[in-house]
Amino acid sequence: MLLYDRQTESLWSQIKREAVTGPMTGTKIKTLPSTLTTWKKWKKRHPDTLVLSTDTGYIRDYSRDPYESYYSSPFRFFGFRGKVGPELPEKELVLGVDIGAEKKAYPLSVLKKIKTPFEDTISGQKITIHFDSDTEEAFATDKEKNRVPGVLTYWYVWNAFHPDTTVFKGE
Amino acid sequence: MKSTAPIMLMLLALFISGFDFTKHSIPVDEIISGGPPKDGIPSLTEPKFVTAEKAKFLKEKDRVIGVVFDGHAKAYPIKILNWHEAVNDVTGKIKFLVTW
Repeated sequence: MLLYDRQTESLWSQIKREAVTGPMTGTKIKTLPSTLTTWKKWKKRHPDTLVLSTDTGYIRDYSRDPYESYYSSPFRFFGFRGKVGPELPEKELVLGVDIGAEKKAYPLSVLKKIKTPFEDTISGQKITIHFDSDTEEAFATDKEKNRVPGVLTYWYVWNAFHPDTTVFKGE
Repeated sequence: MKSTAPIMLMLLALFISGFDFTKHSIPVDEIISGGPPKDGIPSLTEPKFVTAEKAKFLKEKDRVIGVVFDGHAKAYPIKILNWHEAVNDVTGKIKFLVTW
């Protein structure tokens, strides 16, 4: 998925976290910590949270999920031309971590079976992998307990952007 | 003939999208339209917020992207992000973009 900025009309890649066309090409985006979790969990953790309103100024049916059939189907997004390795099913969800030169995919199916959090090493750095099977919340932290950049996505997407990724197999 | 083909493709891509691909780091002929035109999936630039109590449109199992900046927690429901994909927001002095 590509986004554009209104100042330069450069296109920015969400997964590469940088501009890929236009005047800003090659410019990296700084990533800030965020969590993908359930509303139940988030509300419990932050009772005073604000929530983005459905009053967006646009007419959309927010009760309908336009991608419903995409989640449940075994198929990739149309138009996909990348190569996919045979290590995992294409639509397997993975936590992708890329700090330094090394890239690693942690399949949620593996994280569900093992004890978490656990320690791992990536690009010579010690990281901790966290997983909550209730909410499928998965993230990585460094020694200082700060979140490190990571993305939850399908195997085929992660592998297309990172052909040299390794796959975490468990203990 | 062989050498003109990529140039033609580039011009075609420029014509289709309206974006200038002169400078690029990925093969521009592999950038394809997802269907909706530019701004067909409109980003939000002046997001409004409600309290958790008033967010009746959310079910417990619905997923949200949550952030905490300067001690202020904010949640961006996936059911809204699916239709906009990007929210430009600001909390205190931090300007940020939430994308899905």
